[in-house]
Order: sequence, then C-alpha cells, then structure tokens
Amino acid sequence: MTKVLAGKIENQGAKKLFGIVIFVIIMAGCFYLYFLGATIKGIINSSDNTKRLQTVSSEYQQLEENYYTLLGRFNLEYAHSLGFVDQPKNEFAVREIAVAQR
Amino acid sequence: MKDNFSLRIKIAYIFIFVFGAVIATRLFFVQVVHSNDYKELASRQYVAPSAGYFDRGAIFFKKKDGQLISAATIKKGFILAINPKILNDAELAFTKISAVTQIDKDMFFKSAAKKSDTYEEVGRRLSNEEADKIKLLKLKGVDIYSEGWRFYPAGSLASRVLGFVGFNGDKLEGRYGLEKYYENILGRKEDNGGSANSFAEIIMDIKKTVSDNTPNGDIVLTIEPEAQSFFEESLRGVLDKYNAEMAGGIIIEPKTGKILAMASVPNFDPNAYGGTKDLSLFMNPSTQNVYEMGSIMKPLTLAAALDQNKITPETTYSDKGFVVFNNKRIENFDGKARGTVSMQEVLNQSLNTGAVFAMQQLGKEKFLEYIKNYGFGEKTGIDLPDEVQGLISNLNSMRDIEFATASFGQGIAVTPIEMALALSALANGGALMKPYVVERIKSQEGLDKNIEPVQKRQVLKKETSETISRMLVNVTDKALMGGVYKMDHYTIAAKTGTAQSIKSGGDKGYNEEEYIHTFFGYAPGFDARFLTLLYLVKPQGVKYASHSLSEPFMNITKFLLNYYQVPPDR
Repeated sequence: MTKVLAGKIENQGAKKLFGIVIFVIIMAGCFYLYFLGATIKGIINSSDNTKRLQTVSSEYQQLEENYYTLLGRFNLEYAHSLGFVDQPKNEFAVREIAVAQR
Repeated sequence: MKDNFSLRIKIAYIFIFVFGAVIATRLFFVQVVHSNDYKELASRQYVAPSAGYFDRGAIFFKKKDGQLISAATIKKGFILAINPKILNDAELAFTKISAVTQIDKDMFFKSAAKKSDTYEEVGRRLSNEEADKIKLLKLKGVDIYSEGWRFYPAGSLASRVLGFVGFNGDKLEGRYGLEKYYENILGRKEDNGGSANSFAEIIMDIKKTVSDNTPNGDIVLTIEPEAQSFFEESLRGVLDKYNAEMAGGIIIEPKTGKILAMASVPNFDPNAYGGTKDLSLFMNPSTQNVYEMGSIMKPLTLAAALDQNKITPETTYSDKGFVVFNNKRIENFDGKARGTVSMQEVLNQSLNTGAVFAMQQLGKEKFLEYIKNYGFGEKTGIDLPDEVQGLISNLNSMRDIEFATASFGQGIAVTPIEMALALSALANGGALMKPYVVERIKSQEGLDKNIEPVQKRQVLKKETSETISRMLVNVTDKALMGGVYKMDHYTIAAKTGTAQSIKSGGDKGYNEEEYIHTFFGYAPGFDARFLTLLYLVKPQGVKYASHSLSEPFMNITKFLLNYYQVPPDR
C-alpha cells in the first residue's frame, strides 16, 4: 500500500513538473513572439521616423539656405528700388506735460 | 496508466526534438547555404553609413527674437560605390546610373576595371531622390552608403569667426575659429561599427550612453545673423571703395561683452576652403593681429586723466602744434598750433599735443597703470582660438617719447578685441568685461550651459564714463565732418583714428603713405546698447578715417538702432 502511494505521489510530482516545463516553454514562446513583434514594430517606426526626420531636416536646411540668400538681398538699396522713400524728418510723439497735471 | 503517461512524455520529447531539428536545419540554410543571398538582399533593404560616418555638433546664430539659425551643420547625402568584384556589366550599370545622376565616365570604368577591389567610390553627395532611384535599379555590385559632411549654409558669413573643419593628419577636426576652440564639444568620437541597421543602432546607442563621457553638444552664438550680414556688407563696401588691404570690425554689447558681430573682409567660403590660396584669410585679425590704433586711443588717455581728477573737459593747455621728447618732435596731424585749447577740443580736433598733455598731467606710472587696467597687453579671454595679446612692452622702458606716442595710439599695438573691450569701459560705466561669442552650450544629455557676462574689473569711475561719453557725443554732434552726422533724436559717441602703418619685413619705422584707419562709436551715448569698432588697413586715395569710415559707421549704427528698435534718447 505504502509502495503504491509512493509511486502515485512520484507520478503526480513528475506530471506537475512536466506541466510547469510545458507552461514555461509556451510562455517563453509567447513572450519571444511578443517581444520580437514589438521590436520589429519599433524598428519599422524608427526607420519611418528617421526617414521623415531626414526629409524634414533637409527641407529645413533648404529654408535656412534661402533665408541667407534673402538676407544678402534685402537691403536699403533693394527697398529703394521697390519704391521705398526715406522719411525726410523723423517726428516722435512727446508728452511734455503729464495728462493729470493739466 | 503509467505506460500511457510514459508514452505521452516520449511523444513530447520527439516533438521537441523534431522542432529543434527543423529550426537548426533552417538556420543552417539561412546562415550558411544562402548567406550571401541574404546579405545582398539585406544590403538593399537599408542604406549603410559609410565607414567613419562624419558627425559633429551644430553651431547656431541667434536672432534677436531668440530663434536659432544654423551657422554650421551636418548635411546628409549618399555615396555611390561599386564592388568591381561582383559588378558584371559595367556598361549597363553606367548607362542606368548616369540616367539618374552625373558621374565621371572615365573614373567609373577605371574603378570598375579594378576586379580585385571590393569597394570603389564613384559618386558623392547624392541626394535622397537620386539614392532612392539607384536603389530601385537593383544593380548587383552597386551600393549606396549614407554620408554626412560639414556644411555652412551661410557661406562666407562670419567665416573668420566660425573657422572650418579639415583634416589634421587623417583626422577630421576643427582647424580654425570656433570649430577649433570648441572641438571638445562639437567633435564626436567615430563609431567603428561601420555598417549598421536599426538593431545595431540600438546596441550602439546603449554602448555610447554607458561608455562615453565626452559632453557632446551644440553651441549657440551671440552673433546676430542679420547684424552680421549688414556689417559684412558695409565692410565689403568700404573695402572696395578704397581698395584697401583689409576691412574689419566688431560690434559688441558694452555692458555684457557679448559680441553681436565680428567680421573682416576679404574672407572665405568654409564650404570650399580648399580653393583659398591666401591662408591668412583663415585667421581672425580681430583677435590674432595687433595694430597701432591711432587717435581712438585719445579718449582712453583723457578718461584716465579725468578719472584721477587731473583734468576736466574745460581744462586748457597751450598748443604750440608740436612737443619734443628725447630729441624727437611730435606734431599734430596738420602740424599747426592752436593756442589755448580745452580738452574737449583735443578730442574734437584730435590733437596729439593735447593727448600728450593729458598723459603728462596723469604721470607716466599712473598712465601705465591705466593702460594695463584697460586690458592692453593681456589676452581678453575671448572664446576664440590662438588669441594674441597687445604689445605694450616699450612702455617698460619708461622713456618719455614712448609714453607720449602711446597717449595718442602710436608705439603700442593692440588687438581690435582688446581695444573694443577697453573702449566699452568708456560706454558702460567703467567696467572691463570679458568678451564672448558663445552664449549657450546645448548638451545632448539635456543639461544646457549658459555663459553669463563676466566683469573682470572696474577701470573707471561711473562719473568718468559719463563725462567722457558727453565729450564723445560732442565730437559727433559738432566735430565729426563738421557735425553732418549728428542725429537729432539719438546721442552717438564716436572718435576716429588714423595711424601710419608699421613697415613690414622686419624693417623699423612707419610707411609714409600707408595708413590704418580706425573708428569707434557707441549709441545711445549715455546708455550704450552697441559699440562698433571699425578698422581699415591700407586704404588707397583717402587719408583720414573721418572720410573713409564715418559713413559706414553711421549706416551700421542707424541699422542697429532701427533693427533693435532702440527708443530715441533726446
């Protein structure tokens, strides 16, 4: 009787262990698939973003180049050529007596 | 029951074994049998950076509203390379590629003929579109690699301040200007990884974060691009007009020492510095050359004497038109005597004898003390490389003649930046500031460092600064070209200087017909926002700085007052 019981317990222990091993393998597989998927998704996003960033930064660089080109062109002579006329006399508003004192 | 359980375990073992065997076989085929095919396929999926991919921190100009504009950046493009070992049909490859981008035919076929080589570059700096089109051609033995290079979008703007990146031996690094001074911040350690995909990049980034302690960053300049551009245009105008050897200058905030513009022309394009034959153009004369500055020294002499209460603006002396020291005769610029004249007239008429008088009232020892306190003969500490210091050692002889000539700016030679700082003390209440060109270091790790103004010492009393400013405003209003440059609503303090240039080639003495014109001024006169120093080396057909530099100075000052919307002060 004792022998039969001992065999049963041993069997149940091995079964439990086997179940745990299978569970761990399945979980590891699932985690592997999940992390692999997440990494691939991350990489795709990252390369998309890098590409977009590259496009935006090259557009930005182009804008900066344009800015410098315009900087050299916009000057007083250019303004005069477009019809700008210097004001003969600068007049500034001056408050000689404070309003409250009047 | 027991047999059933054992059977199931055996089936599970067999299943795991078969699964393992399938994976191992698949790996064998992928990694060993079809290795080259997959490598080829992979190389078409991503663009690998070229070996030693160039990376470097950016330099920014800062606009008056705080907006940052690139002064130096990395431009990205692509290298077109061939692998002659596996390139079968060079003719076909050339025809297809040359339909997308221009490549040198001879060079292409010469490279393709090197069958023992695996890598030959046949095109550089290709655009995104060109690289994409070439990739789509799927030519075996034709590869695209990304590359980066230093790019200066503003071309020659501020080139003598920025410097450039060039090869020092086999290493690319900052060679002149800010690129050199801030090499430790801007420079990046080369990644040895060579090829990389995103997986590798993740690992490389982690490695870099863990192992690299160098503070990688970008730098933000105090230089305002529009002020710099206007300044350079003005200098170029005066250089051309008088066919001078060089025109240069500095615009500085006297209260802080912040450099708003620094330029000298001719300059060079750092994007194509290899084409510059005159290597002296790479130097920054504002910090690396010394000049005898002439009469712009007089306000400093008079300010020192005012500070010691030895003179007042009304103090008079008898001008005979000349003075004699150590058997040497010093004359006014025109050799004429004016009789009894005041210190104000010394500045208005730029009288050498008056400057000597003020120096004599002060005494040689005190004068030397002030000269040193103004910062002459010491480096200013500006954040630009290879700064030199002024030459004032002849004053150590204590000979009268040396002190007499130094009082009106001859015999001692100083750098323009030293002079700009000393003159700033007249404008800012008497403080000697430390100049700076970089106001912020943007760290990639997120902790930015702001550079704050530093006062080195107090040179003059505040009252002295006000008095000398009043005298200099009087110069502009009444004396400078007869007062034609007076502005009704702004006070402008200014003074001209004309000095004979020193003979070159080790000869002693001065060139009779070669001059250095200088000009400084600040506005508004009693609450200065900007101080402008101009210098013109060896102008032709014009004798005095008042004729050559007054107009450019006034144009620059008007631009600054308008651009920065400075309210009128009178």
